[in-house]
Amino acid sequence: MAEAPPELDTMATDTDAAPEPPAEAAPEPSAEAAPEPSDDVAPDAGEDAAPDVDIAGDGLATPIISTDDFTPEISFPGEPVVINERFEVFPAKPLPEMDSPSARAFEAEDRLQTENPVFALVCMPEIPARQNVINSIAGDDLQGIIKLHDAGTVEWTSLNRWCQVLILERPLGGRVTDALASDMEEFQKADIVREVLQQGMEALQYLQIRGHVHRALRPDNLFFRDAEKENIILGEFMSAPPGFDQPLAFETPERAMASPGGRGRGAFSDDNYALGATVAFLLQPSNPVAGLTAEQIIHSKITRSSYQTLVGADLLTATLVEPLRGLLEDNAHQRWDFDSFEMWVSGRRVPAAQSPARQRSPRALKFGPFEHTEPRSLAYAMSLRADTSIKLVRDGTLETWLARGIEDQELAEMVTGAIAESGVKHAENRDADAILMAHILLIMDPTSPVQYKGAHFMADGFGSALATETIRGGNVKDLAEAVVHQLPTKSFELQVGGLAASITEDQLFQELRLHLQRAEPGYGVERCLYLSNPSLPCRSPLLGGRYIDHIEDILPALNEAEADAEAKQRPYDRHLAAFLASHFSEDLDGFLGEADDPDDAAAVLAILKMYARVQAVLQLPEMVGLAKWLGGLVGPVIRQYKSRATRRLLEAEVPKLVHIGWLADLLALMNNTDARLRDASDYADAQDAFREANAEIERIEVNSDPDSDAVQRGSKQTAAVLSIIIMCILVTMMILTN
Amino acid sequence: MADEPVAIKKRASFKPILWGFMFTVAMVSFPGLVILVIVGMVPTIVAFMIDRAPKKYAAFCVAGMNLSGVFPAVIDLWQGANDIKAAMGIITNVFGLTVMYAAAAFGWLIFMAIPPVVAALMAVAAQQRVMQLRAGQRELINEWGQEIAQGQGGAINETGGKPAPS
Repeated sequence: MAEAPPELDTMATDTDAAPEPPAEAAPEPSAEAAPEPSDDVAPDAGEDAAPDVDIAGDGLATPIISTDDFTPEISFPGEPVVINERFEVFPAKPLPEMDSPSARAFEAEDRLQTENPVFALVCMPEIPARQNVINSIAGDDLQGIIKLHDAGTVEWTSLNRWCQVLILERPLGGRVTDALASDMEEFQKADIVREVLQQGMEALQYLQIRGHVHRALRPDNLFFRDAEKENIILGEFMSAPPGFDQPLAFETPERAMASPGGRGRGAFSDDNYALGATVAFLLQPSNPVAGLTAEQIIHSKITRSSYQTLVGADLLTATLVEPLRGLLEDNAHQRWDFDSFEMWVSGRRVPAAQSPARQRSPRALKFGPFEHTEPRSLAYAMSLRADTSIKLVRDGTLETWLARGIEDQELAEMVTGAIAESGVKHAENRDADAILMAHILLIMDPTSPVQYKGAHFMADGFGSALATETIRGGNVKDLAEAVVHQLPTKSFELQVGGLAASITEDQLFQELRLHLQRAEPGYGVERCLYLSNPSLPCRSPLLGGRYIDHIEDILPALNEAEADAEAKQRPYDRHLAAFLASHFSEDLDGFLGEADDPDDAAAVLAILKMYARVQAVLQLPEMVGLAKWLGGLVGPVIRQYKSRATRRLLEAEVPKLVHIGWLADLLALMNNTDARLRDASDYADAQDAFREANAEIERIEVNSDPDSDAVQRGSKQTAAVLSIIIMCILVTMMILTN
Repeated sequence: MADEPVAIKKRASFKPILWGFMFTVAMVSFPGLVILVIVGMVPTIVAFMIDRAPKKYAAFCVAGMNLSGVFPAVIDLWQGANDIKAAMGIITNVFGLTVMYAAAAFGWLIFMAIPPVVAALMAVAAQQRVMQLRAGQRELINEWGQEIAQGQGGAINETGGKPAPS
């Protein structure tokens, strides 16, 4: 028992826990062939989902992302960054020992209470933070949880991006894993692990009361709050989506199958599982899953149980075996909860879990590296190998095995029904095979994630999966297609309780599906992104990297961004449209359609209408910058007026209204119905007048020719009249003189 | 409509009779005057005969001046015996005839000289009106843009009307 605890440096390794796209599935498992985790390996998170990282690992690998951009010398050569006028963050003073997988630590100071030990975590802009949790617990003392003093967003100069900064209490006793790696006696280590279990359960219970799940509970995320190393606290859990930073071993098998971003919020029982796994790791002198690939770990959890996978024979103390068995129960309904734990603590006997007998086939089916005797393990293996697994389905092997091997006629008939249903749609849908595979995988393992092409997500993890893939520029298409093909609904239907038990969640997916079927700005994937991630900041490039997660801040941000904007660029794009449509209390769909009009005038006017409405409803202050931006784009709207005088008048009025900054005034000027009708009427009159003048000119030009009949007639008539007049004068004179 | 040509035909049939009746009355009542006028107005009669124009402007020109030349002789006749002999005396007076026919010739002169002058004056007036209309159109274009002239022959461009900035 003199061996040190297993190496728990999850920051330095990079073995993805996520199942990989079947086409590029994991190679044959081979502990000997598996490369050792290396401190030098730290590829970008975007590559975590790539197949090539699914090679080896010890189950402790965290999907870490590159930290190069946070090199302090580059980031901040100058002054400290101030968060909410209270906390100073020193970018030149990194704290690597306090880093999180998805955030980098820097020294910080509390201006109001300088003796208050704090540090700052700067979240990676490529990873969506849990903004709702941050908003909920900032400033609160949570028992057994590291305190989040404050949070804010700053422009990180080296990235030229706005980043979320978390101000956390600084644990004075360091990480628990560091203490366990020291030369203390084994009974002392066992005491520490016992405290981890006891205080960890209390902390999780307190967190549950607040309505949050931790989902980042692992050995290297435990700290001693005090220098005496008596109070153990759970580390931060808000810098990444739930489960994102978790090594595979600490996730339940079904959530481990999902991609890191798609593991989902999960339930409180998932935290209990992670605590059990954490205690199991801390209790053992060596890593129980060292050298195993992701597939091997999950396969082992499915076929042998998590307890048998994670807990070996060599334990620091055997007194914790019972809670380990209860917390690592794979059936979430049978897993220990806080009451069970309290019973155990008080010395009472906790009823043993009564798991139903597993259906096993006496005849194993060899697929991939393993011989399978139960549908769940086969389904997982098939999810990694789409090309070969579809043959298994098409040639009838799977149905036969389910009917004769597993002897589950109902399951076999469901698979048969899915195949028949797919056959009907095969001709009209080129994705029929992928849909069929996803459907069959759900039938064989209803608790598994939705696994469609490269998208692997739990239904409650769709939002974070989409956010992660969008931010990384990853594979969003497969996620969207999965929703369009209603695979989450199929997942709900196959789970215990059926669709009725998840009707609210399904309604969200139905809404997302409708939005995905429209392509114009304000709909599509972007709308789904913000609907399923209400606290995700707007990702519009027009915001210049600003961290805007509230609709009230969108227009002010555009107001500021005007200074750097190109004159011809509209203050509107797909992300802005989707963010506004998702967050605004009123229906903006009418404006969205108009804003996509190919006619510049109609589009600009629709944008102006939309922003004026938002400004008015949200009672936002005057925005000279945004008004100026929009005012510079209203040329096409002004040109809709035919009258040059009206145009000049409008052009003269726009700058005046721009300086006021009230978009409704600008809109009233541009969208005056009376003026438009009057302009149209006057234009018609002017056309008539022009036409009449033209006709008269033509008439004159024809009739003014000296040889024309009219001129000839008129001139001769004049001569005749003149002759008559002369005659009259002469006759009169003669009469008078006689 | 069917009765209209008949009506015209009836009116046309009365005119010669009326003229003939009046001439007979005048010949009976004032034979000297009638002879003097007929002889003196020969140029007018000739002009009426050779003027093919429907309105007979040339004949009217000649008639007006011719009558001015005949009128002094008519006054002499009326102030004298006012009979055929007196009328013959005037007619046979070369000077008197010369006055009558010279006046008629002056009428021809008027008919030859006045129309070109009048035509020139009318052309000038037409140009003035065209310029006035063009100016109005330019104002419309300045106010409403070049598109207002589209499809209307581009008259403005031909006369230098500049398109308004759009």
